[in-house]
Amino acid sequence: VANRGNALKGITATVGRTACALAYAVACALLAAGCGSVQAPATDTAEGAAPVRGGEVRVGIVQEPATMNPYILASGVVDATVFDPMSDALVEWGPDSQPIPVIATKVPTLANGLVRRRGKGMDVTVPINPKAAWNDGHPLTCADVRFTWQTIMDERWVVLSRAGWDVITGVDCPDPHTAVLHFRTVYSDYLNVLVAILVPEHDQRGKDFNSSWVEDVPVSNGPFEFDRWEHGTYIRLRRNEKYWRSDQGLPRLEGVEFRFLQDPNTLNLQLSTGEIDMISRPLNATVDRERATFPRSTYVVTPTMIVQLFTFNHSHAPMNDPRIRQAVAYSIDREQLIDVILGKPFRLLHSTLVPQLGDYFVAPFDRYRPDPDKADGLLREAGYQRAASGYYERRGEPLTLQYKGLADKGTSLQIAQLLQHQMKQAGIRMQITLETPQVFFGQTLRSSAYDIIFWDQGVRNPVQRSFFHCEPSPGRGNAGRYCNKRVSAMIDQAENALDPRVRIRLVREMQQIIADELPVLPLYQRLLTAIYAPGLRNVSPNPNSTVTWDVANWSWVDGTRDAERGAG
Amino acid sequence: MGGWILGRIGNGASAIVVASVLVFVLLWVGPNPLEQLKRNPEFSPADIERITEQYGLDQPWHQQYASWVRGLARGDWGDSMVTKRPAKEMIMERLPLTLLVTGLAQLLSLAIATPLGIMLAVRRNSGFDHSVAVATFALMATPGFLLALLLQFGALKAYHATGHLVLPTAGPGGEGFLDAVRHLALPVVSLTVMQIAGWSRFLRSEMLTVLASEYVRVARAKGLSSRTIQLRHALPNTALPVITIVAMDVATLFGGAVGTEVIFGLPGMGSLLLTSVNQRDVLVALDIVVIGALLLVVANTVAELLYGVVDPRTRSHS
Repeated sequence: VANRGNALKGITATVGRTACALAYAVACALLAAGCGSVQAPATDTAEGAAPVRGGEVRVGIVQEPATMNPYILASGVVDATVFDPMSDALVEWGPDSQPIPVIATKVPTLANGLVRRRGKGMDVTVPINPKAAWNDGHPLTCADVRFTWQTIMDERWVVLSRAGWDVITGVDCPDPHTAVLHFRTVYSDYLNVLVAILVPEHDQRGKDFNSSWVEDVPVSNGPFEFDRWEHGTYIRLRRNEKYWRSDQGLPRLEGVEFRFLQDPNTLNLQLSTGEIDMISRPLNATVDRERATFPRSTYVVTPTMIVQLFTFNHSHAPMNDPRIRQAVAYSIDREQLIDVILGKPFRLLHSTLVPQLGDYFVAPFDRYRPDPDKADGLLREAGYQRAASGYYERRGEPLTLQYKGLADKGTSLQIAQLLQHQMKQAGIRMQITLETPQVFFGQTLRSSAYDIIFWDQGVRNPVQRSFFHCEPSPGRGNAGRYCNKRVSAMIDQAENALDPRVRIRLVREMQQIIADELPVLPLYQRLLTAIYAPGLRNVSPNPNSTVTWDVANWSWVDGTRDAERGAG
Repeated sequence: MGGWILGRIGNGASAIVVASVLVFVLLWVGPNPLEQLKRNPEFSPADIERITEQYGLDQPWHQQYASWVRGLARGDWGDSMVTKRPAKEMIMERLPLTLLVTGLAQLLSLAIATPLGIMLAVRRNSGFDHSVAVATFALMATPGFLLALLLQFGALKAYHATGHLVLPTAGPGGEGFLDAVRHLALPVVSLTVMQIAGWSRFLRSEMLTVLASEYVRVARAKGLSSRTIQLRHALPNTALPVITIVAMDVATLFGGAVGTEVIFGLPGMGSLLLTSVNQRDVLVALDIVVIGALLLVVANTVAELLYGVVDPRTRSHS
């Protein structure tokens, strides 16, 4: 969903991109100048005061959801940011990448005995909190977990992805508050099934799920419930008065309103005037430049579980030659790309994984620093000679690489141009093409029509089957056509390993092989910003989720929006 | 007269048909949604079959077009492929706001540009004329989005200076009449100022031509006051070109509304058009373009009818 959502955001930008980019640049400059006289120190985190109930939060978002149904695929996707406040899952991923039990009373693991091998498969037992309930007062039970699985696997419904659910053979309910999920095989990524949005059986049984939750969501289980959708303007959620965790004083806000503003500059202005209270978006510019635009707002930068990298095409010459790949890697000054174009707080990443994955994380790509002598040796070994033109040639043909990237990235062109310059210095000709998401994903990746691409990979699952297995899972799988039977076997082993120590060992070993064979060359970890009114408390951005993942805890410093009490 | 009106309406209908065929073909030769679905591994063959059947994606373009026209004739504008909502419902909830904003801008522009154009003609080559010329040329050279941004920035500065948000920077408002006026002020002013700049220059030029004509000299020789000459003799004779330019600018205004609605966060037809084009929501985009063409044709037909009223000679010529 997140990947398609990003792609759609890219599509949204296509037509108005030039105007919006210019508008944004002008407005940033104007705002920075105009706000100079009222500067106050920005803070990194909202600390403090005891939570007070009351007030609503207005979150500005660029893309209006096409429908409210997060499972059913049209041409667009509901923005998970909008749905999260209405949904509690069995388990959530916390900011530290550790699972947190929400509706489940315990996170099922091998250690606590809730995950057990059974023949070639496994059983996962989920204890459900007896207090859990839907907003209509109906208890949330194992029947809802089973119905969610049945709904997702029902062939009649055009479901976005059945990954993980299709490994489940059945869900048993020994009692209403215990769900036992039977997996056909050992599936180490089972927790990603438990973070799914639950479908209420008592409300949805017998209904056409393709047409459900299109305009509203009458029954939900989160801290907020659907109130109103004014198309083109806002979606408003109000406090769920029957929230099953209300004894903990949750949620603290009266409501959350998502305002749709297609122009990023208008979002900035509305935050500055207090018309909206929060923006969350990927960070493209340097923090200092953006911070200056919002001198009075709280500004938090969070790493995401997305890695921006170069993928090398293994399916045809010249990049199917490991010596050429290595020569390219030794010709790229990745540090310079980060320093010159992105600046702080972006940092060079030496892994296809991110530090938030804890023990899985290793940095084997640090061996690839600019080294013209090594690159020269490798190219000569591959049969190339440096010609008078300055480029390496073989049989009179210069070494030429087709570089493709997405035209919708703010720094995509700059990175491509600096890389082209570095390649030229190293004697390698590089031709740049930046494409729309439709062409890039719809044609370039599928037809393998490139030598190098610059794009991103989600790394929530450190095993990374989709990117390095000879038989990847459906979707954006293994674009570089990389295939190493040993790596594939290790991925299969890791997916079937329930013991985290075994998985960690396999993943770390795999990373070393991948760094040797260079299917990819990582550049940096994507960052997300949350910019919000200083009076808003308890916002804790999460690399593993949306900014609204814990909206139940948000509160205003004195129960009133900053803008309404004149503090905006 | 009846035949003349029918002829104008017939011309308008032909223009709409041509515009709709052009748009349909352009969208049809673009990325084929069926091919995209087939390439998407997230869709099962059953999903593709269902979607293909529902939207008739496997039919040739002329059959799809005919099916769309038949639907229109029945009052069925088709369903959005993205939101699954009826396109008619989506458009009709957006159309009033676009008509309100562009209509207000059109009226205000006319109300301000007409006296301004006359004043510029009467006081030609004065300091006032030169100052306004600089301002109007600057405005005509300013991209619409930049003007919108400057207005928003002005609202922000006013907010910082006073601590009160007198004019909201975006959104349609809706908590009462005054709130709506406050929210619509900036977008309407943004569209109006652009129109005034062009129209006032045009009117000035027309007035100068008329004021230099024989019959005005005769009127002056008869001792009529300048005011009477300007208002009763010169102004009516500038009406024909003014009607033409106002009618033609309906399309400009409609196109400008796309950017204005996006920048000011207005849920009108312009922002819906942008969204539907970006999401390849073909039917919704097509319906909006046809409505735009319809508005333009209606405006031009009304203009032609007005020619006949203002100057009966045009009826006999046509």
